[in-house]
Amino acid sequence: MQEKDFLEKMAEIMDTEAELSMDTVLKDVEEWDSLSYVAFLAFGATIAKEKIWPADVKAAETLRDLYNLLMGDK
Amino acid sequence: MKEVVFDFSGKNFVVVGASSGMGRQVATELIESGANVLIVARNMKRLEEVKALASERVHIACLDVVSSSHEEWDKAFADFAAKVGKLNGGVYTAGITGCTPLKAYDENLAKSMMDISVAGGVKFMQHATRKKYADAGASYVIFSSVAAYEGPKGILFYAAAKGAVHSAVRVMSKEISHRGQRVNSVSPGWIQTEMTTTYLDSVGVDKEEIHTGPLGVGTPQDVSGMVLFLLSNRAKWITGQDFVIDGGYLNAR
Repeated sequence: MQEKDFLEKMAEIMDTEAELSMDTVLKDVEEWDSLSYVAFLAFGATIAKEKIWPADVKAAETLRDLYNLLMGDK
Repeated sequence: MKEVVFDFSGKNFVVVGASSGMGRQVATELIESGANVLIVARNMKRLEEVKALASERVHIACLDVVSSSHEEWDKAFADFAAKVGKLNGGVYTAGITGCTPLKAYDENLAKSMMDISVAGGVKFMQHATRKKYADAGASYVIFSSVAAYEGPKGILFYAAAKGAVHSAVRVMSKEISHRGQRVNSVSPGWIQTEMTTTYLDSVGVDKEEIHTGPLGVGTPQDVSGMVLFLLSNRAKWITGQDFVIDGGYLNAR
């Protein structure tokens, strides 16, 4: 998945109109909440090469961290 | 003359399944109440008939609730929002009925019922509630049926699909509530529409044989008032509920 497609998907998952970049800090996005977290896990389960662990998602600080989880590159 | 009228001037709604039956009635009343309405159905010719009521405020999207892609749904809402602004709500009336008894049901028909009533409704909600297309406070109504409560013999998958709508509405009401958005369902009893007439003909039941409630067979107008109320700001503290509108049918069973 390209970074551009990932950012579009994350805007959908979080249902945010905020400008997102790979360096966006998750806790700065108002819509990154428990429902978005679950939605990301569900999305990840459909495309990630390896299982995405909840603890790793909780530890993620930026969108790039989430992208790396999807790509199997911690 | 209606004793209760709604003023939806400047408000924007989408109605899915707007070419006939309940959807057409709701779309027509929203148009009469001043709203801009995006009407969605598979049949372009029939959509054009509805559009003829008030062409400047009616917009058309020809989509199939099962086979249309996420991109096609997005485009329909993006085009509508670009023309008139974000949605204030939407109504999902798409559904089919048919004979599906336990001992001998058609798997394809059964799957279509679940796909159209449940999966199609959820897909509609996923797109129609997005921040980029819908206002905070937007209200949605999805059609269920008294069959979900009664569980009549012979229409197993119809009843199951409509019951699933109730459960889906409860979940979605929580998932969209943070922006003040709401979703409810309505469960009509026996309403005289093209769909129900076709069903009666298909199973060879005479109209006189239909067991109706104390108030007899209903019309689409008997249900649309509740739908418009739920869409309005008078219902802004109502979400995750189902409303039975059945002429007393369930009580009389």
